[in-house]
Amino acid sequence: MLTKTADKNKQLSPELIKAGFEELGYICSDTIARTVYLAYMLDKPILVEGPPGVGKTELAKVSSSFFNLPLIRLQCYEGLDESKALYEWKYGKQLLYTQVLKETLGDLLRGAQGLAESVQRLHEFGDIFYSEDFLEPRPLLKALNEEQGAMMLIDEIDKADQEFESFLLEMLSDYQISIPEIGTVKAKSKPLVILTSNNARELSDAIKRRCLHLYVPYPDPVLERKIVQTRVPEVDERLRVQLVNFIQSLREIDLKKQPAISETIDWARTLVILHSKTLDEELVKSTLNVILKFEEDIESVQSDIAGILAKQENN
Amino acid sequence: MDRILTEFIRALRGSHVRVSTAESLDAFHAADLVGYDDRAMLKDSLAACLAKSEQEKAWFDSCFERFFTVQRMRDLAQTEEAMQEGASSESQPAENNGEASEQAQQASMGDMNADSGLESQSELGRLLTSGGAADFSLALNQAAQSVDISSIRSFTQRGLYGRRMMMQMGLAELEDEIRRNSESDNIAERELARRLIQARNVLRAEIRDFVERQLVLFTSSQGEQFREEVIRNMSLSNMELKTFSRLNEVVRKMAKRLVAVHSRRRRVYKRGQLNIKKTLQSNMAYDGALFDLRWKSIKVDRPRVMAICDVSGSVAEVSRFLLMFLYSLNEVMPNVRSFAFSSSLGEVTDKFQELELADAIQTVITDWGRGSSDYGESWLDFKRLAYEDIDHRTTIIVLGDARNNYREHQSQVFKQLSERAKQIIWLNPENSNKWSTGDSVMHHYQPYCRLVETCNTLNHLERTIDKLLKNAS
Repeated sequence: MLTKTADKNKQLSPELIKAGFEELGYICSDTIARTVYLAYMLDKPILVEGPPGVGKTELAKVSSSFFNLPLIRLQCYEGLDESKALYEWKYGKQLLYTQVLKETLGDLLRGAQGLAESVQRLHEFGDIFYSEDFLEPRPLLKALNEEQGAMMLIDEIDKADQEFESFLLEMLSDYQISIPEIGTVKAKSKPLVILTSNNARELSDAIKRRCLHLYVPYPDPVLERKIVQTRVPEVDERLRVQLVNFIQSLREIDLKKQPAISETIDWARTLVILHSKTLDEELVKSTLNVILKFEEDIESVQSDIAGILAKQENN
Repeated sequence: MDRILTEFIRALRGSHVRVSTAESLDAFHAADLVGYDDRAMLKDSLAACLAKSEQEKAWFDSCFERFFTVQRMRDLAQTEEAMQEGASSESQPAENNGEASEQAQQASMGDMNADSGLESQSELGRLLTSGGAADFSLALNQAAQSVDISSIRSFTQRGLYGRRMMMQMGLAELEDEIRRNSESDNIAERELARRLIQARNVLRAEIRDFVERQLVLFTSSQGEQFREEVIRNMSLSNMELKTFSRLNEVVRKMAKRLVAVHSRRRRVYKRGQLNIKKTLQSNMAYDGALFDLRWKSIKVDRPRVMAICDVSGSVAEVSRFLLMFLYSLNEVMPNVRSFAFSSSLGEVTDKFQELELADAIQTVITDWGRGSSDYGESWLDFKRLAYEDIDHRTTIIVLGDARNNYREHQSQVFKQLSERAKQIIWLNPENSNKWSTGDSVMHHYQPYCRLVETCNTLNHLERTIDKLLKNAS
């Protein structure tokens, strides 16, 4: 594994990343490896888009262990704001300290002549209650404070509000954050940032401009077979080919939710548990609910299972 | 090398991909990092920097394939050195070509002119008869740069640019030489002239192909932008049938933009009033000291729209687009009810739920478009159908020319409608100087409308709907 501090560029290459990911159980296409390489070398965030279940979040996790960086995850949702994403003041602590220090305060101010002088004295102590000791860092700030850099995963950015997106811009382009009471916090070591989006809404151009863009589609049969092989090694060759082909042909049908890689893996696991050696109509029918998540989808596919299986035989 | 990337970005912009300056800088960094040797690597890297959605990726792919044809990539390495030389004296690129190719030619001398003892005197002649493919392509590209081929705009300019490029490459000299040699008595010289003529014809064909490729690369966008501009400003009643298919696309695009702008407004809060209850609750933990203030907020409703469209004769075309627009906007305007009338009025909302947009509109216009307009009667019908459902949030959009064929105008019914609804917006496809002339009764209705606008192009429509959405929030 690599450390970010070692002169980072010499030994790294897309091939190395791909191989490293593979070792960690994440099979990826060349495009993915290349984009991660670029992001790492150019210090740019990656915006990963694609249908649900193709391994967008997984990519961040595996990158974090590959680059040996701590993974810091920020799950976005509607209503997420800076006090949950960035920092918050420890109000309780502030309050407690003011109570405790009340008497010290009395000592300090003893002998002061009039209000003006008291205030003057207080000023000499600066903004103690608004210093970093009273700051509760949230994921974004944590990522910036990490000495060795970090792997920052901003998951499902499309679920957050528009305002939050704009708020991320400073972080994404300069790896710094402005806190009014303290000033600008710069990254100690630039974190690797991955944002994922399911396209629930169109992201703003501003945020797209600051990121490298990676679109992860459903994998092609060869890649998907390899993924199944790595994740569920118990499945034997013949069944693997069959089930991947079946899933691939399902994706061509117009479904409400198409089966993703995670469903393929689940299905493979199910078949292993059932000790199946080959796909047949009855088996598919009884396990269809593993790969299809809507009643309508199941109904529309059920009638045609034999047809899909037969088509594969011919190929 | 930079120049090639710049040109590629320009071509990319030509194929609808929006590339900002910052993004092109990223692309340069990325290209520096990965180099130009590995085509797939270069492609993925540029795609990551430049194409930022699934759709853009597809455009990027086709543009990349067209731009970096295999030929071009192979030449690139060879071209680069010569280009750097050329760059130092950009003002005389033609001469530079000559030099560059001359050097190269020393090496590959005498493969073609071995059979005849004579060698062409002009640079271009030598290049054509004995230069390698790389030299030729280099000269071609340099000539193209010096005549600034990327500013080619229309296919009628093909000849012009082709000719300029040939001149740049030294056609005049070649022609001279051909003339001289073909009049000569020496057989070898006449043979040379014959070969040169052949070579010149090949050159012409090459350049024609080249210019056409560039034309496709650099103009596909401008043409489209221009056409779109025209369509946006064309009067809707003059629209021809054949532009309809393109029009759908333009309308959809405009609607998408409006959706993008206004869906962001969804959460506009009215701030400023303290929510005492919530503040007290959330500050219990701090011993009642009010640290954390909570404010009152309200969400803004999306507009409820009822669209009433005159679908008789001349107004029908404009109505078609209003309806198209409203239904393309269903993301920000989910509750549109529409009514169509000419001599009588009926609700057509369900047509839009059942049928494809274009079909629905056609059906509505054929179903209701017969007969001449009767506004008075239609208000009565409308009141009967929808009066109960109108409330203080409803916006009524009327689209019509108010030409009532000298029938009863029933403006008091219209007044009642306007009092019950939040607002009435009237879009009139006629210019305002024609209002209330002849059988137009616009002046009877105008006082009860919040907004009366001329509306006969797509741009007008867009502006009006934009206003409507803004007012709503």
